[in-house]
Amino acid sequence: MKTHPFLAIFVSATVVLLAGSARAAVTAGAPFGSDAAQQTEKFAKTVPLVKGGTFDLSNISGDIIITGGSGDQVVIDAIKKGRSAEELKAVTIEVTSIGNRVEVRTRYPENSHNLGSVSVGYTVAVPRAAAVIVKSISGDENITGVDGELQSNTISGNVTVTAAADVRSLKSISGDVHVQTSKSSGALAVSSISGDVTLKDVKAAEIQVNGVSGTIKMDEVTSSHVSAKCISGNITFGGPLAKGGRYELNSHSGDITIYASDKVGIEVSASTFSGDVSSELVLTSKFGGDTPSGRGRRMRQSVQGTFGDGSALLQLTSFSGDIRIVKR
Amino acid sequence: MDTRRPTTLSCEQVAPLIDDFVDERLDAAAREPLESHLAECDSCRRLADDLREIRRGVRALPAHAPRPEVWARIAQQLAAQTPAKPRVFWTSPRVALAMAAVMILSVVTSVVVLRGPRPSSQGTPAAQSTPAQTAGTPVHPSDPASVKDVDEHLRIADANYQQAITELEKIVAPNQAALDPAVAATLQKNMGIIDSAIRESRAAIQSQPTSQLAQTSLFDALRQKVALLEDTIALINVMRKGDQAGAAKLIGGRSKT
Repeated sequence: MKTHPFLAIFVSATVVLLAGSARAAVTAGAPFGSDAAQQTEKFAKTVPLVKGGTFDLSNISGDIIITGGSGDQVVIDAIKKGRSAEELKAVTIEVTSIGNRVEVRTRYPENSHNLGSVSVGYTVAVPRAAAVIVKSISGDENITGVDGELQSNTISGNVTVTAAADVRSLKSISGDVHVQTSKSSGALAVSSISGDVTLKDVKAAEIQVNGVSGTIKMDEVTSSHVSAKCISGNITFGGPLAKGGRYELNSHSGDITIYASDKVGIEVSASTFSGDVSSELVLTSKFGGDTPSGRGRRMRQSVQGTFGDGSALLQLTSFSGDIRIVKR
Repeated sequence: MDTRRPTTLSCEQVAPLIDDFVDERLDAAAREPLESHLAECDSCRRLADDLREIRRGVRALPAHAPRPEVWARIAQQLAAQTPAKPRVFWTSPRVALAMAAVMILSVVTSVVVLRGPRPSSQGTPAAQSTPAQTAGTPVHPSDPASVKDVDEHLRIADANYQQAITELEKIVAPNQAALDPAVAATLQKNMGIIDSAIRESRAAIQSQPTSQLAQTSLFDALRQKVALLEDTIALINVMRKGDQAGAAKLIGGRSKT
């Protein structure tokens, strides 16, 4: 008998609703922390995930910790916290396994305006190679050791990624975004409206960072195409500049600092409306002569010049901030 | 030794071709000399990059689910200024979205194109920016008519952006209660920061009307404001529906600021 592919998907789908489910490991009524009025309920579930599969978690409130490891299973531990057992019961965790995808959703009842005090914190172990998608409204996201494509979004929480091999997109509205000792096989996009963005020891073919009021700090970053923009935050870039690379840093009122070694030539186009541009590398004007240089020494509001073979292009712009090229 | 090939086209020759180049409509014979020029001419290369950025913006617009509804209102406002379009044309949100986007972006494109190539860093010594020119580089100092045209298009672009912002703010203001107060406060604070950037840029243009840096800063800030308002509306819509999990998806679409 031939099975319709959609039917096959539905037949293979496993949906577990855990409110009051016998599969749930529930412990309710245990006060925790200093707030004796709070109740907790634990949840645990393990589901297989095929190689190359995707783990997708959406949460409303609560911290999320995801760690990549060996094995081919997703091990989900969660803890609900709320004011009463009834509140905890009303908020459910739904785990769905369809094909090569495992999805976890925190479900609040419709019009659940009085359930704002219920949070669900997740601790999840995934196969290292799994792709991971995480979304949350409130709460920090901490992701470590994931080799598959990684996307993480939160509205008010920090995003921290460590030792990930293919980071693609990290976004927060009001939290900080930190990425450390990680890579991306393609383009890495990072943004936060009011939080700080920090990239340290990160390698990616292309990096795009956007912000409004937070600072953007890139240290030991290796990429041949970097674009960073913000309105009021400072932008700092430090890392090996690639021959033929392009580095565009733009802040309206923040300062821009780029650390450049004398090992790779640079072509600089730097301009500011009311700040200063300075360089510790002696830039040769394309039109003859050297531009003034020296730490802290005022240069001018626009500089176009080269150092060495000029193989890496730096486009640095700030409306009212200072621009500095610092020798590493 | 400089091993780069000599530039065979001038900036003036490149200008009429650059749209087709960005749209990949040139054949190899036309493309190669232009690529050689772009490899050596910073200002033309930046112009090409700007045009690509605008096209990327156009392509990205329909991906934002709430935008048709938002832009439809803006489009109606804009349509009121161009009565030649039949009213019924705007009833499709997708069409309205596309038209509104094209109207605004075409203005920006016009500004970029009319501004023309920035003074070439590869050109004659006379083209080098001096400190005095930094914040006030004349666009075409020898052509007052051209400067006037650019000023007019900048004014129109600014006005259209401002109109879009006003419309979006009208939607946000009465609905902010749908947002978590802390998130709303964060968004509001950052709107204020962008507003300051807009004010500063406008003041700079006022004092130095031909400053490219001031113009670029203004339109960067205006774009940022529109993007943030759109995201705010998207967030409000989802929160009002009670689909809080969907709210997290929306910030995934915010990649172009």
